[in-house]
Amino acid sequence: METAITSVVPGVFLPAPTQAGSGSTGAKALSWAHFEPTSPPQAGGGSSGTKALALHLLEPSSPPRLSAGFTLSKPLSRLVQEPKAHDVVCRFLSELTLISGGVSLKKLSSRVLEEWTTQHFVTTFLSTLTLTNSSFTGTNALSMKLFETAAREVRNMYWVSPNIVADYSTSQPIFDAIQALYLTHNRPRNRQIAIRLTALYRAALEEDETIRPASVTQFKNFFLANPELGLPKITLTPDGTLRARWIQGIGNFVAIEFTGKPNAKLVAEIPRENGLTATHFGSEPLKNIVPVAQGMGASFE
Amino acid sequence: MKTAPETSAEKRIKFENPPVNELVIALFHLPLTELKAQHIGSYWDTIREKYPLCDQQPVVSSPDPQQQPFLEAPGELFPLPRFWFHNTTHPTLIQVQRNAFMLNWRRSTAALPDSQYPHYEAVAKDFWEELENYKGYVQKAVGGKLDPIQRCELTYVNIILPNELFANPAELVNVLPSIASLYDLQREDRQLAGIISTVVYSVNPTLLIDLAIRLGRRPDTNEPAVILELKAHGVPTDLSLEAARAWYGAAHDATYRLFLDATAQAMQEKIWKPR
Repeated sequence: METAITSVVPGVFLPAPTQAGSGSTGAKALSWAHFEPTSPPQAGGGSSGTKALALHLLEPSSPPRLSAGFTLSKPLSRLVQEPKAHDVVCRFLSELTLISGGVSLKKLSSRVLEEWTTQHFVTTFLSTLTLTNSSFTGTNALSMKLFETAAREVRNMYWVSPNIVADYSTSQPIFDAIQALYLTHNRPRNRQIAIRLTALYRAALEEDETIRPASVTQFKNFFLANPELGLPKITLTPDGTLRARWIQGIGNFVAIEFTGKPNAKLVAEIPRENGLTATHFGSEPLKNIVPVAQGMGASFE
Repeated sequence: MKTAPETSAEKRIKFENPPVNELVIALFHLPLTELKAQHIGSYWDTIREKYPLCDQQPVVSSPDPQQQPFLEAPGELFPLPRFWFHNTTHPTLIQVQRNAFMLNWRRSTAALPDSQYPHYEAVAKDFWEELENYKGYVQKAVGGKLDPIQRCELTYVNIILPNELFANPAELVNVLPSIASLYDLQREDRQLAGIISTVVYSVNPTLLIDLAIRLGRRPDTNEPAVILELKAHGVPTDLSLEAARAWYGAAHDATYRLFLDATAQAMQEKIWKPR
């Protein structure tokens, strides 16, 4: 997967650059937290940074390309999502190189050289992956070839955008929630929830209201974890939290208010014998809230 | 800090010979899980007359590592790549992937070595026309829609080659005075040879601009060259296509002002030449 290069012109490749990944001796400082790399690192070789940094540098977010000429036992797309993809590639390449090294062992007088060769091969391979899988959206190959600087001294740097991800404090969690719900396979309910969430968000903006990001995230996680529940009515409270209500009839409903805190609010009216209605107000840890409500006789259909 | 006056289209300086080498307008949207390889083929049919060439490219992902928009689509053996649709007679190129639509204007291609830059307005018009066509196709073919929008990008890739004000890396100061001064640690025994750096500016909560600079030499001619890339990126307020339209306008305005502030006035007047 590329990370962000949308330009396409040959020769001018200015991969949104900059963080020199290699050679850093710093700890995981604030700058790293803020300048979290976005593109798959281009060869972290030579880094003397912290372990976390080194891992970050070496962790390719890109899947190996099919043109690499080997067969992976899992679907490629699945590998993309698995953090172990890098390990698989490295192991494969290491083995490949070791085999190769074994063949030419007589020519290699130094074990160090052999190890370097392995590492270099892996690094080069990952560099290639990175170069071909970046976030540059351009098309111009000139970008890739223009600079001898880039081709030589800077080769071991990886090209990343500083990736100061804007603090889209409201819109980003909303989009994430919509996307997560929308992409759930075979769940029409979740798509309907995603559509409702979009509408609520836009309505809130028009009225100068906000939806609490923590509430959105909790809401999304709840519905992803409880696929068996029916489609509720979803509203926004004056506090900026999302509320879901499953209404069976007059005096017969259950509602959850997603506070964004560990405890969610639970409100229920449940019919009892002789025309009576039991009313419940309370709060429960979110993971318990469905069984607790069902235990009281509430229905989530 | 300089103030940021609004710059209307009429007041903007348009250069006769701007250094723009590529302009990319990119829109990232909700992934279309129903969109499969076969649909790409039939979409291509709708634009094939203008874009008879098609290539596959690796997918462009969100710069936010937390964002993983490409879930494995059901019934799909391999992830859908990014597609380029282009031609040998027109300097624009369309890029499509499951969660993005992009349009590139390119100054230089093999068939068209030096196209005249049509300026942002013309490229944006092309973008919206092609996006409308794509949106209609997606709606008709897979019942999907591009809304909500995840992210917008507007990227200018400028290339500055040797000219009367910039003949060697030491003269970078004549191109990017404020930036070059940061690197001016040259002595007789130590010359500036290359730069790779990026500066990020926040314009407002929905708009950032990355200003990336590369100074180096072309391997083919050994000439010094500067690549100045300005990438505006952000999220339209309500995640809608309409808001995206407004976002691009604001991004263009902010990018234009940053370009003027970053580059030397002499360069603007003598080399790029205001109309």
